[in-house]
Amino acid sequence: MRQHPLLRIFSSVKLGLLWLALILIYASVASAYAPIRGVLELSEMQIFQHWLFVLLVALFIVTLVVTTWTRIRWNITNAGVLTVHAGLILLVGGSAFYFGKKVEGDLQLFSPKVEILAVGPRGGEQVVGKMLAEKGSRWSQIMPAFGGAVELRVAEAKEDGLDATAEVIVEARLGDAVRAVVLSKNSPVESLGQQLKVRFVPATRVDRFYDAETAALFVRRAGATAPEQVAALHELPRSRKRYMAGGPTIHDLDGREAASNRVEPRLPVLGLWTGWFEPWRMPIDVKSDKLPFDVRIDGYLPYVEPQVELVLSPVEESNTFSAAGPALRFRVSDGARTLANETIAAADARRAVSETRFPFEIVAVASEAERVERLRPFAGTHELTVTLKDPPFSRSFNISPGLTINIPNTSYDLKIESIDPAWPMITPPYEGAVTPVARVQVKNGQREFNRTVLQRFPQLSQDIDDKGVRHREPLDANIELKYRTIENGWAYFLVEKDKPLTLAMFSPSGELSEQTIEVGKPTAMRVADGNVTLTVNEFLPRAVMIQQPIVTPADRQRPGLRRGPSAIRVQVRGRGEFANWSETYWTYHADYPTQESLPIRVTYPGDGKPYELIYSRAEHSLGATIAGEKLEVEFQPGQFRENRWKSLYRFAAANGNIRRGSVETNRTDVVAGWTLFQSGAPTKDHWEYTILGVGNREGMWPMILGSILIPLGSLYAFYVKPWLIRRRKAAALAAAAGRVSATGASGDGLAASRSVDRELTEVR
Amino acid sequence: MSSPRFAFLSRSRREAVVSHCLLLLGALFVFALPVRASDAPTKPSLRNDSPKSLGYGEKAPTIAIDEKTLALDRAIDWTEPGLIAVQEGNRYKTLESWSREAMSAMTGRERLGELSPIASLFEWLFNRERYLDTPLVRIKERGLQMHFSAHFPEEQRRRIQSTGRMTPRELADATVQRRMEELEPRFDTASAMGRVRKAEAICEFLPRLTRVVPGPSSDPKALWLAPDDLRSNASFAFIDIKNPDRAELERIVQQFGMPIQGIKPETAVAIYGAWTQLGDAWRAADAPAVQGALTRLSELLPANAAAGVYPSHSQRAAEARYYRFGKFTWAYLVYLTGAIVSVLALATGWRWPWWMAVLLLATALGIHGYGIALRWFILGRIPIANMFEAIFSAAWMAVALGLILELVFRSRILLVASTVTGFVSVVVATFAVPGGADITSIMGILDDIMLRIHTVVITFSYVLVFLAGVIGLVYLLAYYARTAPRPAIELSTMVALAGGLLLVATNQRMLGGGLYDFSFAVTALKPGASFALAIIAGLAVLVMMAAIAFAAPLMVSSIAATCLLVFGSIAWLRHDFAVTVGWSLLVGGAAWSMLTGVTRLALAPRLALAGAGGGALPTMERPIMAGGAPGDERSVEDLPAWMLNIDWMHLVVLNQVFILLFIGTILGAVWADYSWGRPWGWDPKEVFAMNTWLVYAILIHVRFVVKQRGLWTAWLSVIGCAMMAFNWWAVNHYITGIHSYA
Repeated sequence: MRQHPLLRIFSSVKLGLLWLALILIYASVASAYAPIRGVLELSEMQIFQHWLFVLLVALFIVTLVVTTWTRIRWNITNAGVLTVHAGLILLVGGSAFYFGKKVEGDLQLFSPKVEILAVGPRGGEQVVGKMLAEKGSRWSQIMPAFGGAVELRVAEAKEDGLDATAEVIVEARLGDAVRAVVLSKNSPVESLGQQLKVRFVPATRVDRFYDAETAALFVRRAGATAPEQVAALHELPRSRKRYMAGGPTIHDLDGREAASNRVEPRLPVLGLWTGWFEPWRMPIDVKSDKLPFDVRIDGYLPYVEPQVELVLSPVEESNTFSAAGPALRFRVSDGARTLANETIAAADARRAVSETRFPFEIVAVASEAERVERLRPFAGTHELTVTLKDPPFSRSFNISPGLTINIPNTSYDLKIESIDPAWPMITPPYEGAVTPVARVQVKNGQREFNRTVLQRFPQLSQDIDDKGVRHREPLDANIELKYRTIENGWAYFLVEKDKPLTLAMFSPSGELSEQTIEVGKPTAMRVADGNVTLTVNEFLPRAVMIQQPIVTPADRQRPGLRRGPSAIRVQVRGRGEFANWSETYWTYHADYPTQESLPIRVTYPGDGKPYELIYSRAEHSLGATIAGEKLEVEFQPGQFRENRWKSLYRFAAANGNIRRGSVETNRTDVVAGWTLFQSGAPTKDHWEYTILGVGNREGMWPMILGSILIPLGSLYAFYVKPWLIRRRKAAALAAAAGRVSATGASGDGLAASRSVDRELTEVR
Repeated sequence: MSSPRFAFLSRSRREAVVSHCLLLLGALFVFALPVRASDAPTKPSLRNDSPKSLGYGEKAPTIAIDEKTLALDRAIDWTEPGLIAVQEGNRYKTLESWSREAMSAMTGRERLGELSPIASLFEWLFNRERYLDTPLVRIKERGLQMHFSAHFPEEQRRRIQSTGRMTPRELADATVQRRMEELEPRFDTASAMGRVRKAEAICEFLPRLTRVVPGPSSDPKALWLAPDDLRSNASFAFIDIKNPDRAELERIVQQFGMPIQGIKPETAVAIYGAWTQLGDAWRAADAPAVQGALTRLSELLPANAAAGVYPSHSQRAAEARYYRFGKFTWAYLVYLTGAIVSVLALATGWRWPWWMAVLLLATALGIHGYGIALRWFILGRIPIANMFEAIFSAAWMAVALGLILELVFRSRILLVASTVTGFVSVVVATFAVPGGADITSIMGILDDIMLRIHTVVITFSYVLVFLAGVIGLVYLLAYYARTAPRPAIELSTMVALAGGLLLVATNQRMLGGGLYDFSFAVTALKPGASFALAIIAGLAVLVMMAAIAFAAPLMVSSIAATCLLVFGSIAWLRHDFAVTVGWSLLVGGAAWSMLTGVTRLALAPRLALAGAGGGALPTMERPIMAGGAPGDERSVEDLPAWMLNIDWMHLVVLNQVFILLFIGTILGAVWADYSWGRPWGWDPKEVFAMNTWLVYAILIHVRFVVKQRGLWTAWLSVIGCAMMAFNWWAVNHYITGIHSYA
């Protein structure tokens, strides 16, 4: 049987031992030496699914099968070793099936809750407390504005199908007053007074879970509530910094450059392609019909900090679609200390003006007239320019709060109500920007209204009529108001075509100075406190400002983290006539695309619609809808450390019935064929949400059977087989002794014994 | 012509040994030239890679306690007061055990000066201000000692660095606090900083941590209170409820906080009053008053707890006894004595040492077992939840099994292996495991019956692995002492010298910042050094292969091997691993060399050629329990019979190891499956458990294809033991994974 060369080779015990030794070495290095996994960008699970390991195991199994078949006698004595080998084959086969089909991830379930909201003077709401929407839940706080203690209690909670709580009755005691409110999904909010509200938030319903290993790109279209997966990113790196050249330098928290590792699987010394061994890739092109544009991922950073740094990203001239403008980075120092280090970009309303006390603004000047207007001398610290069409009138006034201005020969009377040096904008796309404003009351005969005049965005000035209604269009188009201030001074970086960069500075007293700025060359500036030096370190005539991640320094990186604190660099590109359109963003990983997501918002010039791109984890369908009920936590003595968690939930079974289920520490549950287990929980309030791990368990029976056969076979081989051999030896010896006494021959006993040994124990 | 004095060395090996000695001396000279104590790196390492960081060599200053306080301590009967329950560390403990743990965490010793542990606790609670300038807060890591003391005057700095202790005032210093905050986020300083913060917490907040007052709730897990928490309640006892003075109420609330709901004012007055009296009496060193106050507290505290909340008296008494008797870890002394006597029994074959060793082993097992039983009673669960318990309990089972097998087979080798296993296990559990033998609470996820079964089986199999490893080592010693004593001594000497070279090359004082960049975060090679060293190591491999291929003098290949070892270790291993390898080679090589010589001398008559049996012990019939793999019958003519016996005893243990290791690993998978639905996740712990089993699978099958089966088995058994030790130690402490808590 062993005549065939291949059979002879694969029936070698030494070969089998060699495969075992190689498997042992692979497993030891792959598990103990984390840099190997870092180089290959594989997790602990994935490195044991690498083709090399699978090949070694396959070769071992082949050798095992051939050896067992050809070299071990199939008799009762060898039943033990045959059982062990059979068990091993089943175990390995089952494992191959199990890991080949393995899918694992998790989902987050929120419990139903009642939130207590404080209402601010301008109508803004802030959550000041919350409690589980379960009968008996309580919340209390001392709130002097309400006469002392505010106590809320869930008096009643009604369930409905999947919802453990669909309606609640909340009893509220505010000081001495008591009232009850009913909250439901249809009517979730009730007011408890002018400054307090309660809101019912039902439990979330979840029908998908998110992969533990694989990242994915999602898109949320305008008007949609849920994001949809665009593509899974199987080849995305996981452990090392890999980003293509061409962008701004990445730094760590200590300010050091965080240089990229290799950006393609290729040996650095010889340039050999190793993509057949290394599964990661960079860049990754994502082409999907779910997006009207193409996406290329050309950078990956693990261990990013929550902070970002603002950097300038140049925009090509041919890209006429992106809102780009001049931008620069400058530094102000007094020789010994850096007073300011700012980056400003004209195209970004929020960041066109520096956040220094003495404002620096960068503007692209389109014409000489605009230049003249910008640099026109001030009538005073706060200047209001009034222009009338009929009769023609234009004058600038030095204003202050309370001042009244009568426009001569007209019935216009103006009164300066207030001046605000830093009014925050909330109108998109100006949100976050700050501008000085003046509020002016305008009277023209019987007509009266208030006009809010913005210095930086005069086109957004609003009129408020006598009923308090705001109007975007001017109520009186005859009068135009412009406001500007130099209360703390104001400096302009003027960017004009074919002219050098100019700094025009108004001092608080109104004095104007102009000077040409050279990039990299320090320029002296005179300010109220003395002389300072300004240096423009970087100037790009056409750029956008992007938020760039900062990396955690190596000595503070905790090993073994998943993708949690990571970011990818995404380049979006147009198609067809918009092929010249291209923008680059960094986006941060979100554990769940529907929760805590930090999307990037891309406005595609083709349809003018915004698209939110979210970097998160690949999703899988759960095959059922599940809703959280509550999380129960049991503590150890002292209530400092949790001992057990138990998550209760409801789900719709295959037959449509609503079933209750639970998982707890050391106990799983099965929903729609998926195994759920307790994976995570909040550490503060211990009830608001729970994280359930989800996984499948295919191929379990062969593994279980194999795991039983191996020790049973071993017991037989180690203890029963020797006993059997001894018995047969004794019988053979007795038989040989009998022959000796009959024939007189000697030496048969030992030979008989050895013959039994060979027959029973040696491999062929 | 070789000198008669060194006749036992062959010429080539003599050259190799001499060359190694010269290398080591040269390295010492070259690297030590720039050495000055003041040239020590300014950024010290936090790695525990020098004996000083383990506490050895530290001269802990004596804490002077005044005579009155010492007399007070002697006058108090601490028996009952020591049983007062304290809620701390997520469990209930006695005042006795809490005082030992607290003092140990703060000062490194269980007592202040000559005071008893409980007296030390009270001295710190009530007379803390006396010791604000006494250096007693222990800072274990040398790097931290240097970092925290860098800004102090030189004398202060030297005192801190030589004693490893800071005063409470020094610890509270603003610069020290800032440095602590800087180090805390770093991953590799986390455990060191944790110890410092714990010491600081005890130093500053001991009164708040000593929670002896049961809360008002009937929930046994509800938070308990410190006596000072009752001040508000006690103050309210003196307020007229019908006509309360609002100003006084507000003053009390502002000063002491809101009263705790559910505790009656009279209860608070009684307990807080007793506590205050205790403090006053302690400061006045009034022994009768102290005793009286303690007695009152011993009565009041349990009486005011809801039913089922206060731990039982028997459990508390058991814990006090457990701690008072040093947790019975001193059983290692009895094991050690037994080991010495059992070696004598093996070497001589005499009967009386055998009996004596069996008695000593049984006695050690009894002490060891009593400690386990007491701990079991205290905890209310099998003591197998943390590293100490796992080693301590599993060792007992394995040693007990070894004793039973020895009584059955009378092989003597099992006696040696069992006593050595018991000794090493208890020593490792007591002195090398972080946290030592202190009783701790168990993490919730580990509180599961299947996990306990898994832990019992797997740790039992690990200790059997160790036991088998000891047998394997004895076999190897005897084998090489018998067949090749000279090469064994020479090779082991060269190994020891190579280890010495590695230690010189990695020592921070000697290098003075040469190859390594010593810092708090990572002791790393300087840029470029790794690549250069790797190149040298690679060249060494080529030289070694060429030397072997062309039969060059042994000196050439041995020097190349040493270069590979030294430079490869530095290039590819972490600094502390490289130091560990160096020490292992040095100590292991020296021990092997010495033991080979001793074995050769001691066993000379018994190492004679076999055939006639060669010794007092007759050849036993191969036991059935040693069945399975082929015996060593082929080598029986070359080796004395008693070595054959060792091989068979080895197989007896190895067969059990093979089965138990597999079952233990599978039980872990069973637990993982029903705990989180995933029986196997390729966690490092799981992988190395599998690897350990693979070594034994290889071992069993190697016997089918080699001639010297006993020798191969012994080597593989030692390798398997090393793999197990790596799994149990390095994987737990250095490789992050799910099992990092185990």
